[in-house]
Formats: sequence, structure tokens, C-alpha cells
Amino acid sequence: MYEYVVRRVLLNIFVLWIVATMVFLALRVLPGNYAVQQFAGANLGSIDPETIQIAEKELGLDKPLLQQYGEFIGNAARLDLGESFRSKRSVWSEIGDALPYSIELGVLIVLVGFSVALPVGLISAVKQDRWPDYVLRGVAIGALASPVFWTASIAVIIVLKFKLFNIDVIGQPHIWEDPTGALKWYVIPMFAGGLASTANTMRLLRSQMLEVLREDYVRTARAKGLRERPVIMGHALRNAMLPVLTVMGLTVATIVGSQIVLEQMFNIPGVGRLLFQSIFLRDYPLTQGLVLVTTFVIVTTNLVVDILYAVLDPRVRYI
Amino acid sequence: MSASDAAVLPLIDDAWVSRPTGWRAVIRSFRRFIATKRLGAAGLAIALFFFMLALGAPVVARYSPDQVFEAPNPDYKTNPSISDLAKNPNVGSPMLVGRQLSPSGEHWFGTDNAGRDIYARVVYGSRLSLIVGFGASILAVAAGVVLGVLSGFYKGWVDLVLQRFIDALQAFPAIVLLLLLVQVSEPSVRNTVIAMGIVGIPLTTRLVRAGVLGISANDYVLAARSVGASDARIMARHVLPNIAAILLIIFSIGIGAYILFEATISFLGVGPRNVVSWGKMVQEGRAAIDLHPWQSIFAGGAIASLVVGFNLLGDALRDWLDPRLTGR
Amino acid sequence: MSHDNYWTRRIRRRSALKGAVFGATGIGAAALVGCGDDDDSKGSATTPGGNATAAGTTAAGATTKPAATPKAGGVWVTQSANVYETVDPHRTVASPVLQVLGGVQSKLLRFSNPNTGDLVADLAEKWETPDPTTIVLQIRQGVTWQAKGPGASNPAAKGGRPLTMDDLLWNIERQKAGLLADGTKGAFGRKSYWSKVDTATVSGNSLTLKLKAPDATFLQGLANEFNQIVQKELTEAVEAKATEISADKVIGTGPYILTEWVPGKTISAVKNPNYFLKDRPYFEAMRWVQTFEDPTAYRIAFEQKQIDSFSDPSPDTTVAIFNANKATSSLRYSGTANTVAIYLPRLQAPWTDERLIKAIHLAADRRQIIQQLHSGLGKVSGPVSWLQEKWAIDQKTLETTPGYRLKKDEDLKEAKALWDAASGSTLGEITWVVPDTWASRAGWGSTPELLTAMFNKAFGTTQFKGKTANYSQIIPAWQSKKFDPFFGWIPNVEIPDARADLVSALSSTSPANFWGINEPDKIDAKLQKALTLTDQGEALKLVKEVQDLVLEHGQYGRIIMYNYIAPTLRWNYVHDTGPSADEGWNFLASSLAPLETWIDPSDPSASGRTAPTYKGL
Repeated sequence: MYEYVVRRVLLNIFVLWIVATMVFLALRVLPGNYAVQQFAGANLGSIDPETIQIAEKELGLDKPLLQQYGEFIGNAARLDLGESFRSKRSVWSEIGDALPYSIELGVLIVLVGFSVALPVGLISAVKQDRWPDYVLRGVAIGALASPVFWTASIAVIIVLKFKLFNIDVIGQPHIWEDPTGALKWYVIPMFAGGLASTANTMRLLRSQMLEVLREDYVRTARAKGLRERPVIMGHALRNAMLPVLTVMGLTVATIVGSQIVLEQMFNIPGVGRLLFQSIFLRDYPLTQGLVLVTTFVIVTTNLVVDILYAVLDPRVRYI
Repeated sequence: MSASDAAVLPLIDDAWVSRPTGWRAVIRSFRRFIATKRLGAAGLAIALFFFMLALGAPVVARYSPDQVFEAPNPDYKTNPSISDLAKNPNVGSPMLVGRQLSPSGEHWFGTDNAGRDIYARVVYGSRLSLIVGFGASILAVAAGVVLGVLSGFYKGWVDLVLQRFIDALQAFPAIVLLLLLVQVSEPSVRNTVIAMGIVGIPLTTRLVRAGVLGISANDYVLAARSVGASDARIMARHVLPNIAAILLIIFSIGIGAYILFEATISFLGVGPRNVVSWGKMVQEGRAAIDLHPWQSIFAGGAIASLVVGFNLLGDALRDWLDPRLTGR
Repeated sequence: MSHDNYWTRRIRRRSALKGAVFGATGIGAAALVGCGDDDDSKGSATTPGGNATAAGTTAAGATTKPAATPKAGGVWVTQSANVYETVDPHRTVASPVLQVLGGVQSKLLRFSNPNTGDLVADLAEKWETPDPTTIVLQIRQGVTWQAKGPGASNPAAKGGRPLTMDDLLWNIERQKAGLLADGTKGAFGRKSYWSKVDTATVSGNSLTLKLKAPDATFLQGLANEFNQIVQKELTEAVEAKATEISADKVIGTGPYILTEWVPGKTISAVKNPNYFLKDRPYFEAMRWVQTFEDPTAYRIAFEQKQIDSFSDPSPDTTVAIFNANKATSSLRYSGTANTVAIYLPRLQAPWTDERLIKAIHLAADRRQIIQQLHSGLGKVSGPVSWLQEKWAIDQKTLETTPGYRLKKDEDLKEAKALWDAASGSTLGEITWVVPDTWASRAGWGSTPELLTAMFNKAFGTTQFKGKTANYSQIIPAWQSKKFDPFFGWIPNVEIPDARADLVSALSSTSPANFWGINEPDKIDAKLQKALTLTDQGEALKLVKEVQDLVLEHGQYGRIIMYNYIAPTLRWNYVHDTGPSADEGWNFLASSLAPLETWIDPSDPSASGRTAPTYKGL
């Protein structure tokens, strides 16, 4: 076990290095750089090439690529991610501001997704190929196949039309600061995102249940004369949940970096939107830092989930 | 990605059984599929419908998707003041663009912000969604097969190194990877398909690898190996046929996801250019969906129904192809 | 082209929204354009000299506004989606920063109405131009630098000290020399403007500027936002770190004191109790919310009265939200009026064949695009934008001018003939480039496709394609004079007087001349002469001749299309004492909005608004 964890951590470091290299290269291949992009709003005739050179020098963009790469990797190894080109703040403090929002939204999305997926997946497994399965799955898949920005737009209009509640897109409260305010702000994105992610969880749970229901111990339980409900809730569901829970853990991790659309629409200053902006602005340090941190969150969650899985399910061997 | 990764993973285990092949068997299975998997059949019908729409677009669409509908403007006024424009923005042009018209006999779904026929655009938009969905899915599966088989069959350091790159690719937030890839070159349809295919590679590779690992450990593969069958032969005769079912499932489930993905990047303004995109149509109509609903409603509805179609089909295929889930 | 009618006609007083342009930020980047002026000559001499004239607005048919008495107090919350790159107004290239600083720092003069170019007193109480090369400004006495706030508490600043004549001289010398305190060269965008000053001298409270040559546009330039007066002590202390934005690096003599400036998040300012205009500003505080990019977010924030007003370059959202709240909100048809143009690389094959350029110029259906992208809110522009109405070819004449004709069929026929004559259809793929900050606006995403369809249809080909590009790709391409055909907003209007802008765009030596337009006799000389003329009739004639020439050549590939209006939407409880609702206050007049806007909390539309609070000093 110990050996396994150490090996995985080392491999993860290797993975982080590959990701760092990939993002470094991708950014340098992208046409243009911040030294020019920052003037996008300007009167374009007045930017003389010398101004751009001065800016490039200030940003360290005039250095040879290999040197830039060395400095980036070297600093990253010492956990120094540099400072954002745009805000001139340290990348860590930018991430510190953005990450909590993304995690809040991510967790809420997974909670919603799970609380819908659980009953739907369960019922449609138990009633496989009968009408409850068809109806539930049909409705779920149908409702969830829509783009999140479409469902969210419709929901927003409904809230505005009927003056249901105040969506505070400006105050941007954290959930621990102002729980009601924050929830009102998050409620549409969390449902739009949560429902969209339900489909996968629901499917997984359904197939897990189908599988488990045919396992020997379930048959044994049934043979013993146990009634259907305890069999399903007690034996089958518990076993089917294991992979589902691990998937949920992973989903939180991926959501952190991928909810650009919802963050954009609801003015949530999270990691996804920051990433999107920083790529457009060619803000190299910020993009690199954000990608590294989200990658770190993802691989670490992966590892934790795997270890937990092993702890919970003794059948798993370490490959 | 991880969620769907795991959603298909449980399929893979050494319980796979070779199925009978041959055209007759295929047709027979198909008939049975239609008969027993009603939702799957419905999904197939939806997918086929859009497929026909895409193929027959020039006939079905009535108008070109780019045609701008204009009519002479009786209210035209030379040099309107700003307050004239404020009262009626339409006084400024001798030809009036028919913007945001409601559905009518002439325009079945109405017209969009630029005065183009929404019905024609929805019809033509099916092309992009299908190309992106199929293209990216094929690419991801093909690359997944090559990498997954290499990785699963040879194991050892090939596997170790390859898997780390796959890990890295997977750990990279998908949308960011896509943004970077699409921006490196111009966002044409081809580049979008390639970028999405790359984003899908980790998932397909891991599934194929897991399948290959499971099958390679099977007795008949070991037997084949012990009688001196070459790697290629084992691969072709025993491994690939047995993972074909997984591939079909990944493929069909992937399509829906890629279609939504394309809608998302079009929403973000980095989608493919010079084509009609449903995602972009929804995006353009969404802020005023209560006042000018048609563009958003029809395009969003088209995305949703096509994705539903492929998801239903994929689900049914999985149930159908996984012997453990059908109870047969 | 018969302009005779126009050129003899009386020039109407009410002219267009002048200039400028701001706003448009796309993802991150401020797509703000046009506000900056070029590093170029600004004309000379004496425009509306004399004393502060109230904005003489005789707006024909202006939407009538109840003459309510302004109420002081309250907090105004509005939105700004810009990116700021420095706190130094003299060194900014991207101009949105001036919008913020305009409420904090004063200038020598300001526009009371950017439409007309009317000037009013700011730091200079009176001004006169005794001769075409001399400007004498009487400086207001008793003005002090802001005594409180983060800027004033910066140890380097001298908060509360009186404004001196030396302050003004330093501001002029700094920009003229273009040097930082440590002697290194700085990116001073107004260097060439101030280089027109031969000597600046002080006696008592009067500042005398002696110009090297007559320049009829120089005086208006003093009201340009770039020429804000900054404090020497603080500015020099923060010079090296001017790109790290924070409120404690700004001190001014203006109506508001900057209290908070977090880029990408929020900007707050409170009333300056010692401001020299006694009845201004109205608000106790104002706040720019900085994070908006999305029409849905706009809509939520506005409809729930979290912001009191907003503007988006693409009017579809704005107009739709207005229509959803017609009874309680209003649109101000001003704010921004960007110039939109097509750029063709005249020096690069195949565009060296002028027939191709002319064909594009003719085929571009400007009126159609105005409807498709701007809800009809705009007008076609000749080489001089309609904003500078006094100098522009009038709309009536444009109706029969090739490229702008009402009978578009005639344009299209000629265009097709030219395209075919130049074997245009054999040229292979031609790609339109649209800035990504443009195409990422909610209503403008299909701009590349609309252009593509328009020209493919006009020439009966399929060779046109569209794409979007980042400004960091576009700018270097322009500078190299080799670029793909471009469509987007461009800087075309700087001050109400068009002469300086024309010099910047067309003269052979201008750095903004990306087309290699080289007509020293027919353009350069005429414009230089026009610049020095105080007789406007004569100057108008020269400018007309230049415009005719430009049009004959398909605008040399610098094809001005139109100017659009991006209305500002605000609740009825927001009022202002500025020019009437359909006139401009816009980027040029960014100091106007903080000065003239007020809120009436008793208005019925204010129900449901939670009055924002502010932190006092």
C-alpha cells in the first residue's frame, strides 16, 4: 500500500511535468502575446513597435524560449507560479480568489446531479426495460441533453419575469458569508450544471445496479426469502454505490476547471472563467498556473479516490 | 470525462463472449434490437431523421441558410436624427432586413437577428453537428484503439509512458485543452473535429486498454499464444473482435457528448467558422429568449433532440451488447 | 457625386455624436477603439475660443426630458468591462483607463457637449487665442489636490496642497519631452501633440502656449481626456510601477476621489468635498462594477437593479431588455458611436489592383450590416464619419455616392464588373478577419459569416471565408502593412474637428497609414493647409476635395463603412443634466457622466432598488 502510494505520487509528478510542458508550448504556439494584446483597446496606429519591445522586455518575453521554460519549470518546482501579466498580482493570490467559487459551484453541481441520479438510476435499473425505466430515463436523458446555457437562459428569464428571487451577480457572496444570498446566486447554475451531469451518473448507477443485481450474493439474499426492498437497498445499492461515489469525487475535480459557461453567465469569478480570460489575453503565468493547479486537483483527487476505493473494497488489487 | 469513463468501464471484464457474426446474424440481431429496445429504436430513428436532413438539406431547406431576406422600406428617411432612429430604428435603410420575424408560411421557424431563415439554418446546422459528432468520435476511437491496444497488449514501459501521457491529457481541463488547440490554428470544422477527437483520446484509450488487458488474460488468448500465434494474429483474431462491442458503445455515446461540446465552444465564440452552428444560434438568441424566442428555441430543441437520439441509442446498445445486463 | 448642395448648405448646429467609442470589451481585452488619438498632429488654432459656452443644444426632436431638479446624494452603480493597463493617463495606449480617471483628474478644458465641440472651463477659467499660434489660458485659483483618500494618503503624494502653475508646466513638459523622471524614454502617446507647442510660459495665473505653427484643432485637444493633469510628486513616485493598478496611485483635482480600484472587479469613488464646482458632483459615491461580459449577467444585474445603467456595444441585448421594461427604463442613444471599417492591404498582391479594392468598396452593403448587427442604430459614413457632421459628406449626397447608393443594385453591378475585370474570382480563397473581441459579443458572433455571404453573393463566388483573430495577431500584421482583409471597429474620430483625424489616417508620413497612401500633393499638402486655416469655409473645401479623391480610389482600401450607436440603458430614476438624450456624451466626454448624472430615489421605477451603500473616507 505505502509503496503503491509513493509510486503513484511520483507518477503524478511526472504527469504534472508533462502538463506544464504542454501548456507552456501551447501558449507559445498561440499567435500573439500579452505585450501586444494589452493594447487591443488602443488606438492601433499609435502603438509603435518600440513600445511593444519595451513591454516584451518588462514581461520577460524577449528571453530565449528555453530559458523561459527553464525558469518556469524551476520556479514551479519551488511552488512559485509568478505573477499575472494583467493584474501584476501573484498567480497564487489570483487562484486563491477564484478557486473557492469554483469548488462551491462544483460541489453544488455534484450534489444536485447525485440527488437526481440516485432515484432515477435506481428505479430504472430495478424496472429494467419496463415503462418506469423508459419514462424516467427518457425524461432524464431528454431534459439533460440540452446545452446548459440554453436551460440556464430560460431559467433566468423565468426568475426575472416572475420576480422570484434576487440573483446577486455583483455581490458574489461566498456560501459561508451569506448562505441564502449565495444559494440564490448559485441555484440556477447548480441545477443547470447538475442536471446536465446527471445523465452520466445515472447511467453508471443503473448499469452498476444491473450488474450487482445479478451477483450471487443478491441471488442468495433473494433465495433466503428476503423481500425485494431490503435486497435492493441493503445489498445491491451499497455495492453499486462504490464506483458511483468515486466518480462523484472525480466530477468535482473536473468541474472546477470546466464550468466556464456557467461562470460566464452568472458572473462567478471562478477558475474556469479566469482561465478563459487569461488564454485570450495571453497571460502566460496565469494560464500556466491555473492549468497546473487544476491538474493538480484532478490528479490528487484521482489518487485519493483510488486509495479510498481500495480501502473500501478489499477485492481491488493494486495493479 | 471521468464520469462517462467509469460509466462504460464496468462493461469491461473478462466475461466477454464472442458473438456469432455474418450478415444474417447481424440483421437478425438488429431486428431483435428494434423489437426489445424501444427507446434505442426511437433514438436510432431520431438520428436517422437528422442524418436524412443533413443529406437532403439543399432540397429540404427551402432557402439558402445565408440568404438575407429584405423588403423595400416605405418608411425610409434620409439622414434620420438619432431620435428618429430611437423611435424607429428601421427608418435608416431603403431596404428593410426582415429580422426576428415570427414563424409564418414563408418562414416556418421565423427569421434570425440577421434576417436569415431559421428553418433553413436549423436544417443546415444538422450537418455540422453530425460531422463534429461522428468525426470526433471516429477519431477518438481510432486513436484510442491504436494507443489502447499498444498499451494493453505490450504492457511494460510502453504502457507506463503512454499512460502517463494519457493521464496528462486527461488531467488537462478538457475545455482548456480545446481552447488552446482550436486557437493554435484557425477554428475550421476540420480543426474543431481534430481538437475534440484529441480531447476524447484519454477516455477511449483507457477503455480499450482495459478491454485488451481483460481479454489478453483469457484462456483462449493464452492458448493461442502458447501454440505460437503472432502478436498481430492474436490481435486481429482474438482481441479486436472482442472489443468491437465496447468500441461501438463508446462511439455512439461519444457522439452526443461531442455535439454538446461543439455547442459549448460555439457559445464561447471559438467554434468553427463559415458554417451554421446550432450552438451559436442558441447563443445569439438567448439573452432575449422571452422576446425573440424562435432562434434559440428551435436551435436548442434541435441540439437536445439529436443528443437525446444518440444517447438513447448508445444506452440501448450497451444494454444490448453487454451480456450481463440483458439477463440472457 | 454632386456635393454642391451640401457644401453650400448651412451647416446645422446640432451635429453628430462625436466620436468615440468605448466600451466594447470582449473577453478580457478592451475592445475599445477609437478613443485614442493617434500620435499625430492635431490641428492648430482657434476653434470656438472665447468663453465657456453652455452646451447650446437645439436638438431637433430630442426625446423630451422632464426638467426635474437634480437631487444630490446617493450612489450610482454602473458597469465597465474594460481592461486597464496603467494608472498614468499620459502613457496609456488603451484608453478605457481615461474613463475612470476622467472623474478624478481635471483637464485644462473640457467638452460640455462633444457633439458640437463646445468647450467649457475646467482648470482653465477663460481662454483666448489672440493670434493663430498663441493660446492664453487663465487658470482657476484656489484649486487643491484631493486631501483625502488612498491617493492622498500615499506618502509620496502631497494631498491637500494647492494646484500651482508649475504643476501645469510640468504636465506639458513631461509629455513634450516624453521622458520619465529617471530620464528614460516613456510611451507618451501625446508627445507629438505637445510637440506642437514651441514655448509654454506662465505669468501670474495665466498660462501662454505658443505654437510652432497655426493649428486649428489644438484647442479642442486640450479637452481631450488624454490631457488630464496629474500631480508631479505622486506620478513620479509610482512611475515605475504604474502598470500595477491601485487606487493609492491616483490623486487629482476632479469631482471624485478614487477609493478602490481592483482591476477586473470593482472601482469605487466618493465625492470630493473640495471640488471647485460647488454644485457638483451629485452623487456621494459611484461604483463601476467591472466584471461583466455576458448578456445574461447584464440582464440579471440590470433587471434586478443591482446596476443602474449599462451599455453594450451590441445593441440587441440592450434594446431587448429595454423592450421588456419599457415603462420604467429608457435608452440614451449616445454613449458610444464607433466607426466600423474594412481594411484591405493595398500594398500586398492581389490588392495592388485597385479595381479589387473598388469592387469591395462598392459591394459592401453598409445599410444591411447596420440593421443586422446594430438593430438599425447607425448611419453610413464616408471618409469622414457622420459624427463629425460639419466635415462629413452629408447623408443626402451619400445616397447617390458609389458604394453608398440607395440603389444598391447599381453599386453591385459595377462591383461585379470590376471584380470580373480584375479576374477576382481566380484569386482563390479570401479570408475576412474579424477581431475576436468583436465576434465574442453576443449579437455579433456571426459577423464573419455575414460578410462572407455578402461578398460571395455580390460576386457570385464561394471564395470568401471568414475568421476571427486576436489583436495581438492583427496589430503586428497592420504594422507590417501585410494583412488579411479586416472588418471591425477602428479609431477614426478623436475630436469634433475632423482635420486632425484625416491627417492621422491619410498622410503619407502617418504611422497609422497602413496602406502606403502616398499623395503628398493631393492629400498631405491640402490637409496641412486646412489644418492651419481659421476660415472654416476654405478648410471645408479642402477637406471635401480630399474626401472626393479618397472615394474615387475606393478609399485606398481603408474603407470607412458606418458609425453605429450603442445605446445606454438606464432606469427612469437615473437622470442627467448633460446634453439631451439623443446627443453624445461618450468616451471623449467621460468626465461628463460622473459630473452630470443624478438619481431620483423617489421615482416609481426605483422601487425594488436596494440603495447601495458606500464607505466614507
